[in-house]
Amino acid sequence: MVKQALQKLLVLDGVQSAMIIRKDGTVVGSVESGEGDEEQIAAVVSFVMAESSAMATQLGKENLSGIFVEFKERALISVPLNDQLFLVIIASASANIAQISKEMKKNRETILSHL
Amino acid sequence: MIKEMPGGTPIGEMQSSPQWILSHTVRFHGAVLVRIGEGEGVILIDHGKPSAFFFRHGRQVLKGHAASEYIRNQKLIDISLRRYNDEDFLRAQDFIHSLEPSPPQKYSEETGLRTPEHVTEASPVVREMKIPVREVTVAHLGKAGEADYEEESEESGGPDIEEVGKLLLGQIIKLKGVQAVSIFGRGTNVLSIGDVNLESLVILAEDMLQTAKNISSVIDTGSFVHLTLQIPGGTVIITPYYDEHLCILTTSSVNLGQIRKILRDIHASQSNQGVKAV
Repeated sequence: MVKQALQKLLVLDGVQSAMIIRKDGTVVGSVESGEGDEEQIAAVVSFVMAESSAMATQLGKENLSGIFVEFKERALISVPLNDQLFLVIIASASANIAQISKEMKKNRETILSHL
Repeated sequence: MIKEMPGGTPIGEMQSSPQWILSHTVRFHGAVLVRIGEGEGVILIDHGKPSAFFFRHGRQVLKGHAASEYIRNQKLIDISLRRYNDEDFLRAQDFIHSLEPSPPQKYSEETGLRTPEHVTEASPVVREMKIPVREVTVAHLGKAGEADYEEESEESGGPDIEEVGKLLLGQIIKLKGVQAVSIFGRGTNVLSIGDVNLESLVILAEDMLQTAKNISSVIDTGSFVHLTLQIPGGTVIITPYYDEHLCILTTSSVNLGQIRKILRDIHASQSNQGVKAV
């Protein structure tokens, strides 16, 4: 059921993989095009999220709404689902990031309900 | 003139690039005495922060920005390091300030000092900056345009917001919703402007950058462009800027499209200068 929910994001133009990871870097569920090692990706992303949360705290904010890392050929978007889980999308750099981000937030509750 | 500088505690002598000197003296308090050809000069470093530049070649004297630029454009220079206590440092500072630069402040072909045409091309935006990035100590300029350096400004109080407005940080801070902008690198907040002091974020930002760039080791991403954090009430954007990084703090009203356009212009300008993106 989680994979079905993630599949809705995978069909968006430019999206290459979608996964749910825990704070500790373990993968809860994923759908992908087969590029990259999802365990390694999850480990790195969890670090980035931890450091981002620390920065949010430093700025006096309790929560992080999301992060967006752009490279020349890829983009990574990560949004928290709850205190423990993040939804992570890897897309091509030319993808419509605003639309992807909007769909991620729109499907948050649906994804959570399947976990 | 080197003889006239306080002796301090000699640390040693070597040959190095100016960039190496400035990046490896983050805890140094004293003088870096330089020899370039027949000329000699000094960089005063105040607990890791360059506070004065001076160079003399015969009768030609360069001070402040001109001396800094001349020294920075050398590939290798002979240096000797002298650690100072506070008293020696003040004496060195007074001595340098007592030396007047030869007017006009420009290079001389007769003495062999490089003309501006021979200086390595820098970004038009960096050229526009009256102060080289590294020469400004942690200068939180704020909206009132405060500064804690002296030799670059002939007026009291440092550059005002109108001058800063000509610089890159000034361009960005003027955008609606931008609260603060900082240039940082190697754990140091080099220059910042705005309502919020971003100095406390520098270490975290450096760690985040390194971790984000590690994504490239796992999947094929191409070079790093920027990292944006969305927090309640705004965003934090971090992007490479030549050898340093920019950190931009915005409210939620900011137009991200404007910020990304500025970032694209920065990176396009870096590409035109042949600087490889990080």
